[in-house]
Amino acid sequence: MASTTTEPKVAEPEQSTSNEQQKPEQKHLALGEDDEFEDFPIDDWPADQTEAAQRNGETKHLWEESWDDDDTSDDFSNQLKWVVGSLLVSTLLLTALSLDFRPRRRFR
Amino acid sequence: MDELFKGFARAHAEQNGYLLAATLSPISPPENPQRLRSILKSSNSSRIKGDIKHLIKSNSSHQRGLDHEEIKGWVEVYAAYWNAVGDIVAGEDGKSTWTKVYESWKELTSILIRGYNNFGFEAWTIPCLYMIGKYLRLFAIKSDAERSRNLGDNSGGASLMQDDFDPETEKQGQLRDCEQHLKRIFTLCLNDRAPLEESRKWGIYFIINLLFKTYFKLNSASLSRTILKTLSAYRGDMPPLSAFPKSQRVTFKFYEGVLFFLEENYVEAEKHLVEAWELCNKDALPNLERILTYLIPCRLLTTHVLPTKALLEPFPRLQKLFLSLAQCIRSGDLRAFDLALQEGEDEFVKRRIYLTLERGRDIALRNLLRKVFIAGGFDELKEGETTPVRRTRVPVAEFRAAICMGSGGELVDTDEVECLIANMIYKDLMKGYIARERGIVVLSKKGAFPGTGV
Repeated sequence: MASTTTEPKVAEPEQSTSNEQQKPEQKHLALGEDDEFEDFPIDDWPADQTEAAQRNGETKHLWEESWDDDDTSDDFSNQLKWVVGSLLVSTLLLTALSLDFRPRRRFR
Repeated sequence: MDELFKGFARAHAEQNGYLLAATLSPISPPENPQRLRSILKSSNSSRIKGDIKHLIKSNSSHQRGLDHEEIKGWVEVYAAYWNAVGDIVAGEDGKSTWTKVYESWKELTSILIRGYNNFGFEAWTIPCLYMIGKYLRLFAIKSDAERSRNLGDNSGGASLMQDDFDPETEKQGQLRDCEQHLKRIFTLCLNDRAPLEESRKWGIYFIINLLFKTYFKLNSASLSRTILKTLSAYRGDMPPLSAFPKSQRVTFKFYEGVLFFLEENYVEAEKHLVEAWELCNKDALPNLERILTYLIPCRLLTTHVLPTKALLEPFPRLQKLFLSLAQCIRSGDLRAFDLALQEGEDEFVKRRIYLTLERGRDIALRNLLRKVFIAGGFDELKEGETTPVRRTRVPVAEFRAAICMGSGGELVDTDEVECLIANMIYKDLMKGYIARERGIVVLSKKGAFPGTGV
């Protein structure tokens, strides 16, 4: 739409309770458009005004792999060894505690 | 009023649809805040039609083109507009309601549609349909809000009297009604048989976008599919999307992408969202933010990548939404991931991305198990081997230890660990098998964790 969108200045008493977290959104609320895609102030724009042109088609630095190899894996492996050990001990203990020492009845 | 019809005449002389649409705006422009009031004051209900007819003729007298029928149609349109302006101005003074404004705007909508069907309005005037449709929807939303407020004020009695009263449906009654009228405009544009250069088909994407917004607001996003199906049936004689203004294309691609997203078709969703992202105006930050809100969870599932700080930099709200979650995924911290997900739950649910993000836990787990694999180091070189091979036989106990660590020290038993690993293998996030009797996991020598370089 070519015209700029200004909201009608009609009384707008709603939304007084949750004012705090919605301050930046007040303008949209007044227009009744809380979370939806906004109208662009202009209808069309040249290719050099697009987001893609802005990044020169280079988008690699915007996304990264989801794992972290910088983490010193030595720390992790030491910790891992320790936990493996302690899990082994605790498992043994648990097994020992739950062992049934009562004599079993045997059938002949 | 005279001003209005000067604009009308100029728009017709230039065949400028947007200029024409501006004469039907329900909002006074900032440079002329009294526009609506002065329009209203310059006539009254008994002489309005005569006034309009006179003004159209006197302002456009020196031009050809507007035939008798067309003038008749426009007189009706502007008379209805004048009526609606009356309700809007009264509303500003607190003497009218949004419901009344909606009703009179709806009347205007019908009359405008009739203008195209019966009075031969030309295709270049379709921005008028945009203007009318856009505000019809906004007024419907306003009216619904107003009605449910009033309902809240005197609830009790009313709801007791009507047993089969469904408050949810009723709450958006006007918007539902509005959808019907937008669909009429949709049909009006779609079914135009005129040659493409002078076809109302050029209005189709603007109207579709309005319908998408309406369906999403009504919580029936899936109805958008019906529109897309209708559209694809006509695809052959429709101008290509690339011929439309970018504002319409970006909006359309965004909603199409989100629609696929909600259908859990993330591969398709990604395609459309990326297109919307790339075409979007670089200064339209709020819209870029909305695109990313879906593109980020989408990419997490399709290519398992996360946004960098550079990408999120201009968007503080997205940083709040995603940064901590991304950090947990990267480090494989399952417990912190659960907490972060819980913390943002309300916001995630509201944006319909909770379920998708929840599936990011798999990636966090994958990263944790991958760390175990890396920590295992390399097997000793056998004879003839030159490149070191990672240790591919990993005791389940080590994975278990890692999962216990990742879960904040909680004891997870071996069966559950095996189950988690089996799931990882099933989802292709990990390659190998569990040798249960020996208590080890045998991982693939080539790409034990596909796509992660090991």
